[in-house]
Amino acid sequence: MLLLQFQAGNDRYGLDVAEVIEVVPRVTFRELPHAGPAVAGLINYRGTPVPVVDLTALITGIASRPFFSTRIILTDYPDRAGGHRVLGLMAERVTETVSCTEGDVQPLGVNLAAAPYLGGICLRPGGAILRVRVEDLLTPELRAALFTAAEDG
Amino acid sequence: MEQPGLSSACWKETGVFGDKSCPELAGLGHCRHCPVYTAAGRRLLDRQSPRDYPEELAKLLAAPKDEAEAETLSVVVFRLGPELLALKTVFFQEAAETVPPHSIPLRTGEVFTGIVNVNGELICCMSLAALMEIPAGETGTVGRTAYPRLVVVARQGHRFAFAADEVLGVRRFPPEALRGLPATAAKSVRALTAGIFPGEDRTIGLIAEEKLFAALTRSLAP
Repeated sequence: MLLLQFQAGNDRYGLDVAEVIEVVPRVTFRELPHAGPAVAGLINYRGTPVPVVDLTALITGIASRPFFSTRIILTDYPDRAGGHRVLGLMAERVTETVSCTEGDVQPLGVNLAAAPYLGGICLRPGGAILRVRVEDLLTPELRAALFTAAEDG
Repeated sequence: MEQPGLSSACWKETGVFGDKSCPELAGLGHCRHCPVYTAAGRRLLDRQSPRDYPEELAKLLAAPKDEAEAETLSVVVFRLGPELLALKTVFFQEAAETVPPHSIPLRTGEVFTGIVNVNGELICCMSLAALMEIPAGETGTVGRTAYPRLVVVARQGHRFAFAADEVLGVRRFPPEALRGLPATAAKSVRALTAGIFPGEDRTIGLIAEEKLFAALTRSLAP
């Protein structure tokens, strides 16, 4: 499994590249009022409005810094209706991929109700990488808020 | 791997850009394989991006993806005297060090110059310059060292080697950039050229491979 690495706070996290469509630079957002601190806004992704969640804000509570290495990871997000939507995830230090086997990713051993998206840990000499599962990233409220239109239609 | 004391531009002090005394260098060969160098390069991205940068990129992201780029013609560009010529990369096999060809009595002439040994295989060495009647002399771009090369090309099992004054590497052109030859082009050049690409400062002639290989094969006949 290849993990796309990003950093939130001082720690490294990874997304399975199978869930990733494209990594693009940070662009300007159309902000959404009352969307909550974790939602950075909407971007125009090749003619389609795509909501972007700030992973740094979601994990650490502090917004991503406007660096060159802060990028938007466009992911394939399964909505409840069985369809697939594009979800943008903004994260800091999206500069590396880490190759690891399925055996390298061990179960976390803890189950945090507030962070159901943590799906295993990959121990590396440089520090552990926590795997983030895209499908469990959004709380039911946030998912309903961002993808209502698709589920209704 | 980030060792204290080494993190500040060690590649300029003990690495390949310095006195090359770094003990890691023996195993790595070049600083670019070293994690310290990589990490320093990545740190360059941890800078604040300019204010108008996200706006500019937003426009690019909003536009449909430009995938026309995929249909490019890949050619190897080389120089014979004053002429820049190109051959499709698929027919190109290697660029080797130049070696003088062994002439064969009563066989070798102006175009077929002899036999060369390339990686243990004997290949007929041709003079493309003689075939296309390109005058010798005139060097390449000023301010750059030109390395003559022995170019090995192959098509449908026929392999030939020829001497080029310089191999400039692989270039990609959109097929629509190919232009017809100007009326002033010499007949010998015209016979083997499919068209020209406008280059940065000089035009590049694209060799018509079927005509070239046919002409080379003909030149072997006594």
